[in-house]
Amino acid sequence: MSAISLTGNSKTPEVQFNTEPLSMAISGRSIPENSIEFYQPLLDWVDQHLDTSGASIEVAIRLEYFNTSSSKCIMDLLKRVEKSPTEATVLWYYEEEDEDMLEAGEDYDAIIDIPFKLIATAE
Amino acid sequence: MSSGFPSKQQSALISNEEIGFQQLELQWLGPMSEHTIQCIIPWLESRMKQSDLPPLQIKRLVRVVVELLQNLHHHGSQNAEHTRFNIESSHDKWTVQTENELTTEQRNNLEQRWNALMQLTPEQWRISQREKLASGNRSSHGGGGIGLNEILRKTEGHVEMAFLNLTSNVHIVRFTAQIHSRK
Repeated sequence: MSAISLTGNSKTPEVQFNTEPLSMAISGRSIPENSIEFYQPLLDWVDQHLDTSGASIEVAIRLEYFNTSSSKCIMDLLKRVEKSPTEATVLWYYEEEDEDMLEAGEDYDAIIDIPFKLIATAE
Repeated sequence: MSSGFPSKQQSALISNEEIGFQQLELQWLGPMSEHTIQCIIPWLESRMKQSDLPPLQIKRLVRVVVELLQNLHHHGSQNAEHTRFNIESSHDKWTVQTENELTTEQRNNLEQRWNALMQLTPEQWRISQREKLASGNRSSHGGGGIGLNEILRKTEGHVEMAFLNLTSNVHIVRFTAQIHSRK
């Protein structure tokens, strides 16, 4: 498994995980009924590819909606990135008037020991 | 002779706003399948394009509806005779109401969690949700028990929970959640 490229739809996000260069991007909406089933391959990818000390990665998250089940899975994903030897930065994008998505980013930032950049975007 | 109702002339002067008129936008009775949810969410988003709710309130309405529908899917599908979802609008708010059956054990568990949350301030709802998020605990369907926090926060506390007893071990829980226009 080298890269993951998933097209987003009305329930699940677009996913672009690449190895050259190393990058992770999730965007769109994440409201699947079974979020664990959707996120498990992404968790496995992190375990397999973020195993190099000295390497670095940017994790870009730009979500419009996510359900609480997905919020748990995103937490699992970020915890795995945190535990890996790869140096990571999270780019958390939110629409400038969406204070809920800003708060969500702040909450992940408070829990996860990875540098977070909270980036406001125009709607 | 005067009836209790206003005359035609008078009633023309009474606006929907004054009488608190609520437009039934959508009602669903019966099992809440994944397919049904896939129909309702796009309908809601399309309907919101004609709404004058501010963008953040539209997102909050969608987020609350997603949580409530998925709750119905997970908890109201087995015996769905009393599973109900409806959404209404008025000049200043949107109201979402769900009903589903639950056992006494489920009711007690839900009441316990609800009563605990009712003791907290909005900022404490956020802290509580963050703590649950940070813990590795999950419910059987992967939710982690933060749906109530989410609904309370997105509605800014405009949620009511009520029970109806069908038998000694079968109850109906009704959630009524409101998103206000904040005008």
